[in-house]
Amino acid sequence: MAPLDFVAATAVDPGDTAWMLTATALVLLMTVGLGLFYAGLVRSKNTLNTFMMCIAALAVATVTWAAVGYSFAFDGDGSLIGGFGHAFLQGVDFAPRDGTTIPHLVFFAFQASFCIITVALVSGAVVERMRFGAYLVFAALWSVLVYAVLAHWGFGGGWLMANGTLDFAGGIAVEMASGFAALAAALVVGARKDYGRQALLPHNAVYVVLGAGLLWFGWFGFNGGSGFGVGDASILAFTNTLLAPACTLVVWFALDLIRGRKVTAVGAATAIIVGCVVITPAGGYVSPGWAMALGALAALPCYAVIVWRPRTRVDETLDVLAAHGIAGFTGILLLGVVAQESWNGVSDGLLYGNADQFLWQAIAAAAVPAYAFIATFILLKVIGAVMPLRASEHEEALGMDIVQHGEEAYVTGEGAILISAPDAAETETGVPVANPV
Amino acid sequence: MPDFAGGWVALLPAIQLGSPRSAGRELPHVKGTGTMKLVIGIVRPEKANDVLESLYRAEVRGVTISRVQGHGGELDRVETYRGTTVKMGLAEKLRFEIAVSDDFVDAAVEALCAGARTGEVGDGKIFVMPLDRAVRIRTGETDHGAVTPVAK
Repeated sequence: MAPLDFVAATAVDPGDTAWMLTATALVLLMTVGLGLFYAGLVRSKNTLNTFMMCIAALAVATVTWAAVGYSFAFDGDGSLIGGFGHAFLQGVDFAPRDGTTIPHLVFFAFQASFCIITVALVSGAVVERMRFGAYLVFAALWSVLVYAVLAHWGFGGGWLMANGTLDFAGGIAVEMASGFAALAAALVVGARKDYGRQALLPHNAVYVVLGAGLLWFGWFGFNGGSGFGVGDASILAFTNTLLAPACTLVVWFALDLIRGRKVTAVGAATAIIVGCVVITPAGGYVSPGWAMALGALAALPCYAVIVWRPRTRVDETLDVLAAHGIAGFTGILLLGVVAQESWNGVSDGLLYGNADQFLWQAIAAAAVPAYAFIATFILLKVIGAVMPLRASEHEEALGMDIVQHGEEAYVTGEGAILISAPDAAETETGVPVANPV
Repeated sequence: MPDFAGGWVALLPAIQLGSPRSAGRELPHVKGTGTMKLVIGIVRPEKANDVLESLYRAEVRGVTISRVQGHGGELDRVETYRGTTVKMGLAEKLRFEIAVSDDFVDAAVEALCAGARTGEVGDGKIFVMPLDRAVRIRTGETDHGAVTPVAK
């Protein structure tokens, strides 16, 4: 290593740091956007509970990440899991993180935002029936036992990374992990009581589209920040994050037209997510042209799974498997075909004469879904043995907002009687509008 | 073809429009005989599909549904919004209105009960009241011709 490189690699770069601070905030916004997206897809009586599952990820996953998750993912280069070296933020300070030009604290925060959104993604499989308390326990354990482990494999120095598997921004730990964990969660928690008997429709398509828009916006930080600076890889990933989802949208429109003769808004929102997901692993490694091709190609398998899944008994409610698992799988695999060293300076794919790259992408595409599925399945079985995972049928009928949170999303206040109002006794004006007893 | 929504949902338009069989079969402006009743069912919103299904099975066609709020002795829910804790005195309900000839009253009431019952407080009420007149706007048919899709 040349001395100049050595100096550059150990100094904090203000430009890189400024962008990474911004990118971290962008990724955090994605979790709120996801909450809006999910909330629109469920029935109105479950709006808040669905949103709260994403907010809960912000709470729980941040704490577990600071405690041990980050350390398991990014301390040392053990092949399966990291160590305890950074537990409770030990040694995470202003000095640059190894291999980057940004302070370790910023690197930690950026990675934390990834853990948060991944946990929130999994909730899409169990909305409208899982008990909130059980979900909090699940979120805490899953963020350490599944996310942190797969983050170590994919970009913390674990066996996949060490063997050259490419994953720019989280096709392994975020997309495939959440998608296949969602499938396991749906199987263990079980279908909603009305699933397959009644049409369970999105209650607000505008939330869905707006949420997808916020996700796309945040994804520029997610992919664009995964180069840890403002270098070529980040720039490439940023622009590819514009190109790929646009192509997915166009193909999705066409598929909608062929299948139903109309282009749907909820379909478009889904297409945005699929396009962002497929370019997540490939962002900084493929040419803009191939990014567009990947975006277009990813629409096909994901659309097929989204059409097929509701005809099965598997109530993987918000199609995390299709939109994240399958799209992430497609991205990881095709990245091994179309990666170009002339664009990324790292490695070529199969198409450019490097079959080894494709082999390691395929190994990741097999191992990661297997681990995510099996670990999640076992984890939920264990939690389920200790506490009930789901609400009763009666509670499910009432809606999770009232039962779990004692609130409603669209409360009118008609007929509401104040119980605790300190001023009411003195002024006698704070008392209720109506008391129908 | 496997239908996610469940087969009977596809029949909903038929329920809302009444039976197409009455169109053109009966002379317009013929006044029906016998009396009619208006059956009103106040039920839990989450039981809407069950009620529609049991009404359909009972061959009671033609319903109107509205979202209402009411109070009928069930326990109040307590909700908290920041520092404000409130007792929600009114519960969301669905109101079914079904105009039927006397022959269909029992069927309609039984179907409403069967579809809406959970056994918990708050299942709702059914009211049956006399109905003076009914007119099918499209054809001008009145009374039995208007409320009874299939002559019985």
